[in-house]
Amino acid sequence: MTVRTSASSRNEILLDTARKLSRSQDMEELLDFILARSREVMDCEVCSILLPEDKNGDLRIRSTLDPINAEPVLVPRGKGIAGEVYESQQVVNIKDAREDPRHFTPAEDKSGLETRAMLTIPLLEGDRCLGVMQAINPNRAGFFEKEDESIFETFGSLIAVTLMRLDVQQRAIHEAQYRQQMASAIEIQRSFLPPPQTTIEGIQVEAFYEPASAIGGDFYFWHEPERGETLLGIGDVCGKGLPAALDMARGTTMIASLAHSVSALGLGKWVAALNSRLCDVMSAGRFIAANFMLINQERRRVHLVVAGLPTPKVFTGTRWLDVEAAGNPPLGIACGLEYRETELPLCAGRNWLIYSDGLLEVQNSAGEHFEDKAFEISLDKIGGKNHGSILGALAKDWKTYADDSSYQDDATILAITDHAPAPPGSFDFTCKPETLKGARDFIESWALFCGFDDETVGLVVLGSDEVFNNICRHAYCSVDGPATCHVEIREGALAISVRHSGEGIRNEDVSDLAKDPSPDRIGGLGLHVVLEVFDHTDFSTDGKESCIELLKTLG
Amino acid sequence: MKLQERTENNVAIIELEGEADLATVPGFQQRVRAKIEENVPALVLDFSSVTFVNTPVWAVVVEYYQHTHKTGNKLALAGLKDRVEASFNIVRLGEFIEHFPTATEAIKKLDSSSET
Repeated sequence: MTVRTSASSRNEILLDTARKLSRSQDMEELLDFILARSREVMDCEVCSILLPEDKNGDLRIRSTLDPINAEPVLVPRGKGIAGEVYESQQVVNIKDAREDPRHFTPAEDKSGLETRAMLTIPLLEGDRCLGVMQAINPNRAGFFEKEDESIFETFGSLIAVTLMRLDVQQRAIHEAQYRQQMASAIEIQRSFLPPPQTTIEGIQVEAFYEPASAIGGDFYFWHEPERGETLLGIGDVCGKGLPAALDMARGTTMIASLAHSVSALGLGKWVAALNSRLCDVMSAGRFIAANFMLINQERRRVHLVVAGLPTPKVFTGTRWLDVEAAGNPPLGIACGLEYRETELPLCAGRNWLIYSDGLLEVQNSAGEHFEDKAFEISLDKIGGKNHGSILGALAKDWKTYADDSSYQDDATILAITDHAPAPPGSFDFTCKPETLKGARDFIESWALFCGFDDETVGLVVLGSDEVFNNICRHAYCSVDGPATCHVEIREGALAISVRHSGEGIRNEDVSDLAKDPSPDRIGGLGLHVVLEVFDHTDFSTDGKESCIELLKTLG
Repeated sequence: MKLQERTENNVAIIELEGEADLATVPGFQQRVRAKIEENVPALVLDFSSVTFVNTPVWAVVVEYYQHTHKTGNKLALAGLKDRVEASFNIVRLGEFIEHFPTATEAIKKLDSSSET
């Protein structure tokens, strides 16, 4: 015969349990302690606690019966007496479970326990049910009495408070760990980005980088693969969070490791090689949209590969224009693709902008995208200010617009400014054979500044020299006379104007004077060359001063 | 511009060096006209070391070509490259004046055609 646990003994156990509960930090250790003490308090064969699984609300059993704890044993949501108590939050005290149709024994339960009397209570914290506890088969009697219900509920409320405390503590720990991991991830990701400003051989590059979430998919880069060359660009990895951060790290690392070969391969082939490498390592369905720019400061040429991001913009001196560049697919989708590059003279503009689509896609409360009007308005307002203020002003306008936005993607802008000084704008000389070398050198400095290839540089110099020759020999009839040559880049062309006060010619005279080359005739080739070299010519005279305007389109 | 003359296998050669422009064309014209006076059977103008040529210089070449057309003497240009070749092409002299990558090739061609 068993001896019933006395009320004073039960109270001592409760007090002792309360002390232990307030100190414990480990959930499993705590549950085992709770169950052991519950069985003492309830003086029964077995005690169990059933707590909901996170995913679907099934109840997982932990018991004083070790075989049950060895494997996960689950009671499906709403099933059995435990499921009913969890949902109804009401105590159920039954005398013989074997005769109760609600009773449910999970198939995984290999304990062999024969359940007779069973007291099931909800573990309540306010309106919330945290789980249920069960006392099974009292030792001293055939069933649990009202007093047992009362003491078990008291015990249960103590446990509920403890579980809540532990849950809050664990959530706080998890959040702290998550924040720590995110902070590390952000720090690692930022370490892949170069500093936001640099100047390489007269090319100033500034970055604006605004990730939408703490870990964004955008990135930017710049490298100096060879002296006098700058490789730069922006990438936008699909997706967000850690997967995007990993692809961003792959992308920037691969670009950095391959940058040295861009000069030898040329930008288009280099991007194709980069794409093949990325295809090898990136998961299916992931890709990187990117724009690449290779600037050759010595040759003053710009090479562009646009692969899935908006077309770059260039400031021509009077307005911002879209760069007419061939489009290509993003990287990482398919191996063996060819990437078409676009080549332009660096002097097509003093300022260039490369940006990710997050800049354009941001919407205001009226549902208007930044690209609809605001971007153009902002650029028109900014015009061709000094470099720092272009990026600063554009970023400020965009941020003001984005503050009102319900959706925001990562936004990255690279502002590139050519700080190479242009040659002097004019050259005054006395027109005689010995001075023409100086005039030719002046023209050559501009032709090189325009980024023409060597043959075109030679022809522009030759065509200008033919004009100087004609002024010397015909306008001044081989008598020394003054001339001024003025050069500028105007509307996408090298514009040369030569003024003199000798005898000038008009456009209508040109067709009579220009001679096609012939073995039968000596001379008259100068005007033929001028008309062949330049895309537009204009000859004018007012009797006192004459002017020859020559235009060569930048290409 | 510097000018040097030599003869190889009955072929007279004028080597030009530097920029051939309005300032230097009189000297070049003088040498070429001297060859007309001498009535040399074959002349090679070697532009290998020239960096600039304008149309007054090509006019002197055409003048000599017209002389060969009358006399049956030979003329060839050599060493036209880069900007000089672009200048030569734009005045289309290649349509009627023989030209070779090197002076050696030009001399060989003119010497063999003189023998026949």
